[in-house]
Amino acid sequence: MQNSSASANNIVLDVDNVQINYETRKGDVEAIQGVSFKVREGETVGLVGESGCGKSTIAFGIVNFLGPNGKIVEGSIRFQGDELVGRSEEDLKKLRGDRISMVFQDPMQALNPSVKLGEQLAEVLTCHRDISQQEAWEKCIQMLKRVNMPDVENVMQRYSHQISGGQQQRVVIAMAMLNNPALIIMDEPTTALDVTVEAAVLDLLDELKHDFNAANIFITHNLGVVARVSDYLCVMYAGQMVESGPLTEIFHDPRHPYTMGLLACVPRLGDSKLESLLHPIRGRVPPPAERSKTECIFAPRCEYVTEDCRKARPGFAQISSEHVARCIYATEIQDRALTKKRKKVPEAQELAEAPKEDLLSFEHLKVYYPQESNSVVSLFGMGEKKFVKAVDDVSVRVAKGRTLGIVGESGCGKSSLVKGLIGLEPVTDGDVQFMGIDTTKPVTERDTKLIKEMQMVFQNPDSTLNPSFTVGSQIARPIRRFKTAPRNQVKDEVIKLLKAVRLPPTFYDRLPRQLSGGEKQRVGIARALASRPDLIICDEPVSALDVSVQAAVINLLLEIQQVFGSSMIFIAHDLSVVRFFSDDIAVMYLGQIVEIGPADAIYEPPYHPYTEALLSAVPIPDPDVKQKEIRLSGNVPSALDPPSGCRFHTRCPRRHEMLPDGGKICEKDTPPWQDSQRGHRILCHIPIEELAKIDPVIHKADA
Amino acid sequence: MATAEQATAPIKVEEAKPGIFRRIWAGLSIIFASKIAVVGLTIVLFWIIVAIFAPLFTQYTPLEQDWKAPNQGPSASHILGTDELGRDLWSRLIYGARVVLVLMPITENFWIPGGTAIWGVVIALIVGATLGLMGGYYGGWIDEIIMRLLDAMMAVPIILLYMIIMAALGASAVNVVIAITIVGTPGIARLVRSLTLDIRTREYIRAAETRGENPWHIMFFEILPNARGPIIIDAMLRVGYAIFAMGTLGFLGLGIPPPSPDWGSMVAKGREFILTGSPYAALWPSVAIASLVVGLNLLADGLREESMRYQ
Repeated sequence: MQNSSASANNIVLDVDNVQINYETRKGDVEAIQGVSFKVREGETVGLVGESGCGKSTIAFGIVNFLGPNGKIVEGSIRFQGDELVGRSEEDLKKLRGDRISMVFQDPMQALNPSVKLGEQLAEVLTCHRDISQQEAWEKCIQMLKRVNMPDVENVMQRYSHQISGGQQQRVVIAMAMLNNPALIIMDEPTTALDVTVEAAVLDLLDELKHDFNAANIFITHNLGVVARVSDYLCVMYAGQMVESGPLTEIFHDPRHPYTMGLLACVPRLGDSKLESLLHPIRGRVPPPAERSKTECIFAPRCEYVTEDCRKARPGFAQISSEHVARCIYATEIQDRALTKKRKKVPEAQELAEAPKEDLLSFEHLKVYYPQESNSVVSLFGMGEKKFVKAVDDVSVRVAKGRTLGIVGESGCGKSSLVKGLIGLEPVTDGDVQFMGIDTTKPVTERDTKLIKEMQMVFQNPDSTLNPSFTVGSQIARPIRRFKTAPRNQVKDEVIKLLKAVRLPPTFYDRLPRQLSGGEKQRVGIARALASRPDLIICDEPVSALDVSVQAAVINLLLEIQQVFGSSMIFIAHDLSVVRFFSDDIAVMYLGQIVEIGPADAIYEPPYHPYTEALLSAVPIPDPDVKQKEIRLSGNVPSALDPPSGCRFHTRCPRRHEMLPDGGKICEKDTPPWQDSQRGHRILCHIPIEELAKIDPVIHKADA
Repeated sequence: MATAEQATAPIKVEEAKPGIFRRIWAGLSIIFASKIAVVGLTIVLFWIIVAIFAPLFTQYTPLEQDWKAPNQGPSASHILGTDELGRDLWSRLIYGARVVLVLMPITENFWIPGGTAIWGVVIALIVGATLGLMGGYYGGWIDEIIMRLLDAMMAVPIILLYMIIMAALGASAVNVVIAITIVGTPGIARLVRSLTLDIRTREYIRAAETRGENPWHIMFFEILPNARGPIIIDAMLRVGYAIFAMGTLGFLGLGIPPPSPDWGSMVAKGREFILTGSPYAALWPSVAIASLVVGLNLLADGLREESMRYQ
C-alpha cells in the first residue's frame, strides 16, 4: 500500500467535477454532482455509499453507458490524458473491454448462458486485436489459470450455469483482465457471493492488482470490503462526493458527518450489544428529485447541522494534501464528535448469568426435501428415493429471553431449520418442544395458541407487506385473529404497536409502496409483535437494508426484546451483526450445526475449523485489523449426497495438519461433540485441546 | 377553508375517506395518461351511455314495424335506415347494445342489470379465478387435475365448443352466459394460476401462513388482490371476445332468440339484402360489434402499457 503512492504517480483516470443528469418527464434530474477523483496505476479507489447515492452512475458515466436519457453536463473525464466526455460511440467502443473493462455484480448476468465460456473469453481478444482463434484460446487458458480456476481446459468447454457463482465471477474477472486494461471498474463484484467465496475473490483481486498494475475503481456499499481492497476512498452521498482521501486517513479521521455516521453504524466483528452501541443515521437518502440545491445535501440527516449549513451547498475543505471533505465544519468536527463514543456501560450483564428454563428445544431435527428424479424407473415409483438433507440431525436449546444467532453460508440449511420450526415445512424426523408442547406438526394443524407464540420477521422489505392493504389493516389482522385486544380497541393497539416500532400514527392509512425499506421492515416487526409472541424468528431481517437503516432496525429489535421480553432466533450471514445481536450462536454447515455456544466463546479459540475459516473471511471495516488468511478450497458439496463422516472433511484445512494420518478418520466416522466450557460445543475429530491452541483469527495491529 | 388547525386534528378521519376517491382517481389517471386508452374508453363509454339511455336517444321502439319503409338507407326520420320489416336500425342497435352491456333478459319480462357479455365474463372470472388460485396455491395433484381438465377444454376449437354448448342447452340469454363462462374459464384460470405461482412465494404469504390463516383467506385476501391488475386487463379483453362470441352465436341463430334486437341475428338477417342494394341492415351491427371490440382492446392495451410503465 505504501509503495504505490510514491512510485506510481501515473494518473490513469482523472475525473474532475463531473455532473450527470437524467432527463425525465418532470425535467432534468441531477444524479451526480461535483465528483472529482484520480486513479493511479496499480491503485484502487473505493467508491462507497448507500444505495441511491450514484456510485454506479459514475462508473457508467466513465464509459458513457448512461442510457438514452442520461448525459454528462459538466466536468471532464480524462483517461490516460485523453478527454472521454463528448467522444463518439465508436471511439468509446474501442476503449471498452480493451483499455477499460468492467466487472459487474451478478456474474450470472454478465455471462451469456448460451455461449461456451471459452468462446466468450476468446471473443474479447479477437474482437479488439488481430489475433488468431488458436492464439486467443491459449491466452484465455493462461488467464483462467492465473485467476486460480481449477480444471481450466474443461471449464473452457462449459456453459456458465455449469460452474459455481464464485467460479463465474473468476471467469468475469479473467475476461476483464484479458486485454491487460489500464483501468478496471468493479461494480459490487462480491456482493452476490458468500463470505468465504468473497474473501477468495478479494484475495485474487489484490494479487492481480500487483501483477498487472492496472488502475481499479471498486464500487461497494460494504465498508469492510472497501477497507480490504482500497488505497483511496471516495464517500458518496446523494449524488455528491462528500469526502475523499487515503483509506487509513478516512477510517481514522473521518471529517464528514456522513462518513462518521457510516462508520459508527456498522458493528465491528467482536462487538456485542452488552458493551457497545450502534448509531444509526436518521432519515433516508433523498431521491434525486427532492435534493435541495441551496443547502448542504446532508443537512436533513446531519447531527451537527446549524443554520449556516442551510445557506449554501458547501465546497470541499482541505484536511491534508489528499484528504478533502465537503463540510463547512470539516476542520473542527472531530472535537465535537469526541463526545459520542461507541462504548456503552455494561449494565445488562446479569442477564447473561442467570440460567433460565428452556423455551424451545429441538432434538435430532431433520428436514428433508424429496428430490424428483427424471429417470424412467422412478416414474413408476421403483427407483431409490433421494432426499435433499437440508437439515440433518440438529439439536438446539433456546432459553427464555435469550437470542440464538444462526450463521452459515447460503444453502447451509438455516432457513429450512426455522421453516421446520415454525411449521412451514414438514419436519421429517426429530423432536421439537416449545414450552413443553410438541411442535413437529405443520402450521395448519397447530393450535392457535401455539401459533400465536411464534412469529417471524422476514428478509425482504419489498415483499414482507401485502401491497394491497394499508399498514394499519395488516397489523390489525393478527390482533383480530389471535384476539390479543378486544374488537373495539384494535385500532388503539395498532397505534401502540406503531409507536413501539417508532413510526407515527399517521402511517395507519399508508400503503406499503409509500414507505421506505426501513419503514416497511418496522411495520413487519410490528406485525410480528402484534400477537405478543414469546419467540420471534428473524430471518435475515437487516441484510437487504442499507447500513444506516440496518443499525436503526437492530437497535429497535434490541429495544423490543427488552420491553416485550421475547426470545429471538436471529438468522444472518453477516457474522458481525450476529455477534452483536446474539447471546448464543450456532454455526451451521451443510445441514448440521458444527459449533454452538455463547457468542463470545464462538469468536475465540477453540474454533471449529469451519468457524475459523468464516471468521477469517469476514471483511472488517477497519484497516488496522489483521486477520489470518484461511481460504476454503472447493465448493459446498450437494446436500443431496453429503460427504461421509464429517461433512466438512472435503474442505477442512485443519485435518491434515492436526490429525494423525492426514485425518482419515474424518472421512469415515461422524465426529463427536466436544465440550469446551459454558456450554460451548464443537463437532470435530480434532481434540479440543488442540483446537484451543490455534491463534485467534483477528488481532489489532497496534495491540 | 382548510385551515392549519383543521388539517392537523382530524387527519385520520379525513385520510380514510378520500382514500377510495384517491384510488379511483389514481386508476383514472392511468387511463388518461395513455392516448390509446382514452380512445378506447370513449368508444366503450359511448356504447354504455346510449345503451343505458336508449329510450332517450330514439323515438322508435326496436320492435316497431313500418311496412311502408323497409330496407331504407339513412334518412332524416331513420338516421341509420330501416331493416326488411321497416324497423328503425338505430333503435335496434342501441337496444341491442343494452342486451350486451347493460341488461340481461332472464325471461321475457324479467331483466337483470348487467349485460349478457358482462355476466358471462364475471361468472367466468369467479370460476376461473377460483380454479386458478386453487391450482396455483395448492399445487401437486390438485393443480394437475384442474389444469389437465382445462387443457382438455382448451383443445376443443372455441366455435365448436360454443355450438355444442348452445345446441345442447338451447338458445337463451342465460345459456349464452353459460357458454361464455365455460369457454372463458380455462384462459382465466391459467392466467390466475401463473400469477398465483409468483405471488405465493412472497414473504407476506409466508407471514399469513405463520399466522395459521385459512388457505381460502390466503387465496382470496392475500393473493387475489395483488393479481388484480393483469386480471382486470384480461377481463376487458374477454368482454370484447364475449361480445364477438355473442355476435357469432346470433349470426348462427344460436344466440338470444328473436324478436329481441340481437346484433348477430341482425347481421344474419341483413346479409340477405346486401346484394339487393340495401347493405345497411348488415353493416351497422357489424360496425357496432367491431367498434366495441376494438374499443375494449384499445382500453386494455393502453392500460397495460401504462401500468407496466408505472412499475
